[in-house]
Amino acid sequence: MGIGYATLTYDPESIVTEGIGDLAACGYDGVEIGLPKIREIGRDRLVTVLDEHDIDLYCVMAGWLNEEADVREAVDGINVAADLGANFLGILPPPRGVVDDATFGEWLDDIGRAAADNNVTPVIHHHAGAHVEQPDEIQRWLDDGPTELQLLFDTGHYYAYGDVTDGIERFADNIAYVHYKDIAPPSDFDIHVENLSSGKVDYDSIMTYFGAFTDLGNGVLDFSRITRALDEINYDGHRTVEVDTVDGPTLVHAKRNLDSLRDAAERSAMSR
Amino acid sequence: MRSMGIGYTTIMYDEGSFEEGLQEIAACRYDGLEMSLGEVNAYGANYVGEKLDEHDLDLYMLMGGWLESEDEAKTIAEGAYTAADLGAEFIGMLPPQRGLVEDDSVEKWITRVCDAAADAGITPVLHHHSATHIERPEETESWLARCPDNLGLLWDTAHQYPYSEHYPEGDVTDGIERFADSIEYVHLKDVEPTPGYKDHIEALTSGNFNLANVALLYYSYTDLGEGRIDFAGVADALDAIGYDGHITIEMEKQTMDTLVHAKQNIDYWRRASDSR
Repeated sequence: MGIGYATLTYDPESIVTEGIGDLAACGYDGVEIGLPKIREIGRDRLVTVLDEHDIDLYCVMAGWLNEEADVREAVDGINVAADLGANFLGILPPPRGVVDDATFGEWLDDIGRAAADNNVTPVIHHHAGAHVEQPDEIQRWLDDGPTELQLLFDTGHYYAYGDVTDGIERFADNIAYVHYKDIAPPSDFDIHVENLSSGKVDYDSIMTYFGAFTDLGNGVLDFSRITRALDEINYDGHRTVEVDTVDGPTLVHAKRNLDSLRDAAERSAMSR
Repeated sequence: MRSMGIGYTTIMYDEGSFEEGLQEIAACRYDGLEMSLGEVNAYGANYVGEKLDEHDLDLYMLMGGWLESEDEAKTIAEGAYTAADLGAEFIGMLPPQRGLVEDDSVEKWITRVCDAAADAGITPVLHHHSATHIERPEETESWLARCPDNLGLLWDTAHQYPYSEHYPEGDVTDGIERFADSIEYVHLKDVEPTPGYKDHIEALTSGNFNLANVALLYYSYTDLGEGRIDFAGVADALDAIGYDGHITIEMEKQTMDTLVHAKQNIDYWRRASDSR
């Protein structure tokens, strides 16, 4: 089990010139990087920097599945992940209403077949405003998708649809990888959640929802409870902090989020 | 062969936040740090050494207290051995407040520390400092000549600033050129002059230590890039004299998250020194 950081707030160049070194210096064990950024950086350069700082690549996050070309890219992403030693390929479902269920199912099967030939687990990232968003949808696609498909459980994206620890219990058998992400919902948050869940492409709702994500400890989620719930289902995989936006130096967010995660782990251990 | 490193002072951290401070300094990828002798004596040298090893940080210097009494001279002299035990290259001395003690006493106390440092195998460095016995370039020069040969200079950008020939511009490189043969260690600190800054400096020089003068001097110190000093010029001048020692960023005034200070300052220095 290791602690990782998603590199959303770094551009491809700064991932290798600054980010990975910063994360290692903070005390992270691993990293998650988007597939397009890995392509931009280049395989050999990324391997050199990961090795230099003794950082593992936990997950390669493929781009949004909007069309067939994205599926082909995700399928090739399995090879990229395997080559780089990553255990997981993250799958971002299409936005709600873009494709029908049959097509989406075929896409997942394509990715599952590619994964079966490699030692990489495809993990579906349930996501606000996406084809896989709510608990029953997560369940449905885990049941109907390829057997290789597992769950990337994201605390921030689960929040709007139920108690996060209930989600951890419900999907205990399928959680293969976890995103730690906090959320500070504004007072009209529910309206925007409903808009996105109904497939209404409302820019205010998109911006409000995504703008609610924040650093660990600045939102409403209790990460000591979440950590305890993960421990209780015997989850022993990686925990990756995912921060979407930063104000000021990215390193400061990386460090403060790790501090918060460790603090939550300590409080969780003390409460047992 | 010396190896240049970038250090950070622990001034913003106290005993309760010391380890957090080391984590922050290491996370920002500083190579080393500077602590006060008082901190090390309070926390325990063994504990400090363990934590430095744990975070893979070098101790560059122990800064002794203000050299204002025989007892303080004795403490700093003893601190030279503590510094050596912790692998530091330097023991620092802060001159007494201006007008407080006679020259003979200052010389005797500096000599005592220099002798102890020589015995401990490290270098004693004098910190020229505003409002103290040794503040202006000609005073620094005079005291370096007067004291034992092993005494080196801790040269500080912010304490040079008001006495530089280019004042109020931020070019302080005349200080580097003037003390090229004596600079053993460098402090980087920026200055954004407060209203009446020069008047307060002159009042302090003349021995008027009212609180406003002291406070407004202190308030003028700021993060690199927030004040007047041309740090690219400092980097150029240090290169020109062949300086290959450590460079330590000294932040005294916390105005935001301590980690933000540590990170923004090292980033600024790297940009300034890499942009040339």
